[in-house]
Formats: sequence, C-alpha cells, structure tokens
Amino acid sequence: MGTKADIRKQKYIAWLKELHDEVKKWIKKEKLVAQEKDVEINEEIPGRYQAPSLSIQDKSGKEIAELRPVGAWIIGAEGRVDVIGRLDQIHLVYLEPPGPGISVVVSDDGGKIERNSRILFQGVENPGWYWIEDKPRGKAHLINGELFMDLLSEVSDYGI
Amino acid sequence: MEFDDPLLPILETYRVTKDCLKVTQKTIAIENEYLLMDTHFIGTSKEDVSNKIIKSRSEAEDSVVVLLWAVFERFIISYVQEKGMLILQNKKQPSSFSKKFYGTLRDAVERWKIDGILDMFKNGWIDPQLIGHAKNIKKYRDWIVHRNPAKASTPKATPETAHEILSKLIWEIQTLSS
Repeated sequence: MGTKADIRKQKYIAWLKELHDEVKKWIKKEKLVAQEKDVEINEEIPGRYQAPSLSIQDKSGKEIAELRPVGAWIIGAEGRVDVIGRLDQIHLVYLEPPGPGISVVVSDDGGKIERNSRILFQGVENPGWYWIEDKPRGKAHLINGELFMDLLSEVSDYGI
Repeated sequence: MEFDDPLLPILETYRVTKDCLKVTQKTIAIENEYLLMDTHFIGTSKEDVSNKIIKSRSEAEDSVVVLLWAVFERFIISYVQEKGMLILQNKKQPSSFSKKFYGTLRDAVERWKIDGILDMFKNGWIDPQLIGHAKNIKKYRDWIVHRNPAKASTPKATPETAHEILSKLIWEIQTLSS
C-alpha cells in the first residue's frame, strides 16, 4: 500500500487522464486533435514524478493550447492543470464538494459559537475539474464541452 | 458590513496587465507595424516575441502573489500595532512607561514571524484551516522570491485563490474588531 502522498499523486494523475479523455471527445467535434506526453513535476511533498500533459492541435499540427499539469498540492484545491494558449492561460482546479470550507468560530463567555460558515468557491456540487470565474467572489464552474471550447478560444486565437 | 478590500486593486492591476499582454499578442499576430512602433519588439521574430509574452504572463502571475502577500502582511502587522495601542490607555502605570512600552512593542512587531502572529488568531476566533491556507501562500511567496529551480515547489496558489483566501482573512479580522 502506498503512502498518503502516493495515493494523492495517483488520484491526481487519474483525474488528469479523465479530463484528457473528456477533452479529446469535445475537441473531436471541432476537428482538432490531441497529443499526450508525460512531463515532470517537482513538488515538495512527493518529489519528482511524471504526469500527463495534453497538446491540442489543429489539422495542420499547429499547437493551439496545452493542458499542462501543475501539481496535486494546490492551496484551496486537490489539483491543478493550466490551459495555456498563445493569448492567455487559465487554471482548472480539481474540487470536491462542498469546496474548501471556511468556518468562523467566535469565543464568547459561554464557550465557542459558530458564527459563520463560508466556502472558498460557490458552485461546487460534484467532484471534478472546475474553472473559477476571474472576479472577486468568483464562482466555480464544472468544466463541460461548451465551457471548455469557450475557454479554449479565450486563451488561443482558435475560432477568432 | 461593507468591506473595503485592500487587495482588490492588486488583482485589478493584474487583470489589466494580462489583457494588455493579450492585446499585444494579437497585434504581433496581425503584424501591425504602426502599433509596434517604438517598442523593443521591432527587429525580433514573431515567435520570439510571442514566447517572451507568454513568459511575462507567467511572471506577472507570480508577482501578483508576492504583492498580495506584501499588502496582507502589512495589514496584519498594522492591526497588531493598533491593538497594542491599548497599552497607552492603561492608567495604572505612568504614561511615560506606557509610551516606551508601546514604542518597543510597535518596533518589535515588525520583526515578529508572521506565522506566529497568524497563530494568535487561531484561538477560537478564526478557522485554523484558513490560517493554514494563508501560511501556505507565504511559503509559496518565499519559493517564488528565492526562485531556486532545483528546489521542489511548495503548494501553489493561483492569484485568484490567493486573493480569495487573504481577503477573507482580512474581512474576518476586521469583522472581529467591529
């Protein structure tokens, strides 16, 4: 049996592969292709390991964007992959409901009372890869085909 | 309670920077020489410029986490210094002593370890998990600043997550004081 770090790392790699499988299906409709390769990640807790990245290319083989794994030890999330295009880059994070929680506990004379319970990101109902809206109190959106294609055109000049 | 987020201007500046880089990439793509005039891009290949812009974007992302932390740290230090001013209201001791004591405390706080200061908020006031996230942002900030490529990365934070965590912490601390 692996260590906690090994288990977390393996889960992260499995989630990346699941995302890649979905992305391959979504981009196929747009006549785009994907190529997978392993890249090295170096994180403090597990050390160096290989994780899959995905290059999205047009018919001529020109890269439109890359899904580059960032790591499994991410503040406020269970893992992260960046979608990097020529024009921009966005972050996808793996979140599990109800999202990273924050509860505020206040002491009064009679002991501790829970004053508030807030979560970091609204909208996390199922485990999965989420895109966080780039604005204060940003909502988390579970990634799907339509959203992914929108984000892809935002980071690259594809479809412009 | 209305929250005047001191970190928001940093995030807004970062967004503007990102958008400017995006516009520049588009300008390079369409090779608009008029817009590129008087820039360092003239005489450089499209690919080179494009790669430099991508690198700048990544650097901007790291810089914003460093800046967010700097403003957050100043807020925390100022908060503790302000709380220390209660010493001046103590009528049981000579005011000259109180003033000296406060002055010493105010200067000493500048050198206190931020982790230790954050721990003071743990005792039943603010969720330790939120404090833990903030400490991890500090570690990540240190990793960015020291930038040793051979050293493994500490847990990373996106600018948006770093802002979300640090501004929530500021909000909670301000709420405690009100």
